[in-house]
Amino acid sequence: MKTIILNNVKPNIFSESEVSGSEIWRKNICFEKGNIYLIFSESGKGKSSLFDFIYCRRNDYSGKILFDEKSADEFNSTQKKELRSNHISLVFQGFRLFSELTAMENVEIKNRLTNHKTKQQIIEMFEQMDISAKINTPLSLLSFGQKQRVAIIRSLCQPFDFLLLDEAFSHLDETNYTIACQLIADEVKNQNAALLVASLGEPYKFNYNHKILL
Amino acid sequence: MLMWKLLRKNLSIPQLAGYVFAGFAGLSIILFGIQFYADTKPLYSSNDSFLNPDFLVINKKVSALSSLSLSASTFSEKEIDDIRKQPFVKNTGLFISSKFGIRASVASSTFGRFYTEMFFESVPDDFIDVQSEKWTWSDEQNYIPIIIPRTYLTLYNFGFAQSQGLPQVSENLVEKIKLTVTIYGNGKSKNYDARIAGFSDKLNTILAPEAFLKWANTEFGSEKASKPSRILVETYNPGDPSIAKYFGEKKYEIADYRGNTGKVAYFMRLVIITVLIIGLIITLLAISLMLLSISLLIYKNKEKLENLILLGYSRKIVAKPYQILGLLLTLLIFLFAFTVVVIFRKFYIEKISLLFDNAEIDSNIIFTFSTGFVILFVICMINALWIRKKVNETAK
Repeated sequence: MKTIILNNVKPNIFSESEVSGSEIWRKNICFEKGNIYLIFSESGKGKSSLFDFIYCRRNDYSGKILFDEKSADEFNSTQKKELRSNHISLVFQGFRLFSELTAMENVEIKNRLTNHKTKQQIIEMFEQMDISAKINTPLSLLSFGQKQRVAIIRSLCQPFDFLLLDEAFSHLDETNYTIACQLIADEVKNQNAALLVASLGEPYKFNYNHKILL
Repeated sequence: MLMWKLLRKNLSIPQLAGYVFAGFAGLSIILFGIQFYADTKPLYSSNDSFLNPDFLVINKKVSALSSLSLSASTFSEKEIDDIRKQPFVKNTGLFISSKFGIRASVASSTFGRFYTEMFFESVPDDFIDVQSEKWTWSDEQNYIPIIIPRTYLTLYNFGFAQSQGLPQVSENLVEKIKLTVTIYGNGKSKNYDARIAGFSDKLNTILAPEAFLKWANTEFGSEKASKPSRILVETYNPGDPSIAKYFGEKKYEIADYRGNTGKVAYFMRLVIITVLIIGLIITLLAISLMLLSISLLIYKNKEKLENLILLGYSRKIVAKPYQILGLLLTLLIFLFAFTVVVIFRKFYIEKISLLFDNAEIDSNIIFTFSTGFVILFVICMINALWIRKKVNETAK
């Protein structure tokens, strides 16, 4: 997948006046592989909604989202499965981790779909993110910041053309998010993917090609 | 096994145990009912006659008036139609009698030749259960198969033969005796060979093939067709109480009526059907319990299922652990139920063998096993489809 095109998209919950200043809603915009985008806005402007639409989790919008010419609303469950396991990776704002499993198991349950990373590579990522001590700890015993780092590691354990980060550093201090950004940037570069970073305004540590106000 | 670790959360052991127990009770009752019916069927259904046991022979009572020809002992067309209209009647067959003279003779080394005047009757071939190659007739054929009442042989063997110092004969031997039959009438006569093709318990008459009698009646017959005095009736169920009631009211006689074994068979069938229905209801309740329990489980694990699907798992894979769980539990039920049936069967077969020393139990448990397997398969299919449906509903 090379491009994601948003064609006159507007969430149903927003009125026309609410989306008037946006550079995405009601506009035509194309996200291309290989670029890094910052999507910033204050709260409640629909950053999570945008990612939910692209991730095919919700379809309560007007307009069209096209993956290489193919409309998202035509995707069946098999195509969505393929999209989520091989083309688009998303760090959810609410993590969507499993509290019954350990940190490592949470990553493994994603990685085993494609076996994108070896166990050794996963352990190395835990070490880089400074949470290797928590590898076998049940997720329910981890802090928000630690959970967020597990979610980031999990998102890197699959092949993708687009990586979406939905306020993925909100619980991390600067030292930690600098490490995380480096890890993410390397993986994005390796996969020659596009990165979409949703943020309240903080640019974090990426070299953006485009900065877009939502 | 990560999936299972995740999805087994909120599993209710008491609910699943309830399903296993109820399913076990229901399936055991069904399988036991089927097995018991198959095993005991030979005890109350006898078919020792060449006539199918579902056939009845009906005649009017012979009274003083009928001897004086004041009241007919034959059936009128109206009466026959009325019998045909009865709900328990599947088919009727009319007797045809010979309207010509018949003289039979048999050669005997001791006494020279025996001669006797006799008669023939016939019933439609459908009612006769003798090998078809033995029971044929065409007008080029010089051989007539006949069926005689078994009592004739008994009469000869235990009455006549003993008193006269003659040898007793077996049925097989009698079937080999060659009789010479001369039929005459209309100024013509012809000789035939006759052979006994079978013995009848129910019909006190000498039967010849219907085709022969029809032909011979036109060739040698002296009078036009007369009304039948006996009727064969094929019933759906000889144990049906309305049969005895109807013929009783009409003052008809049923020859050698085995109404009592029929009634036992009817009653047994009724009991077994009741038992099977109860078993079926319990099984259906068990299935509902399982479906309800699984719906609840899936509902409680809704978020996990949704997250798995958002990670890129297919619904098929997410549904599988629950489908396997359902399959294993159902297999467990089948195993329990089948073991119980086998154990109980061993127990009652011993009892039956003691009570009926000549009981032949040639049924086996393969039919019951396969019935159980079909039920098992159906339950698993319902279960699998239901789980799939619920998973689809949960995660859009």
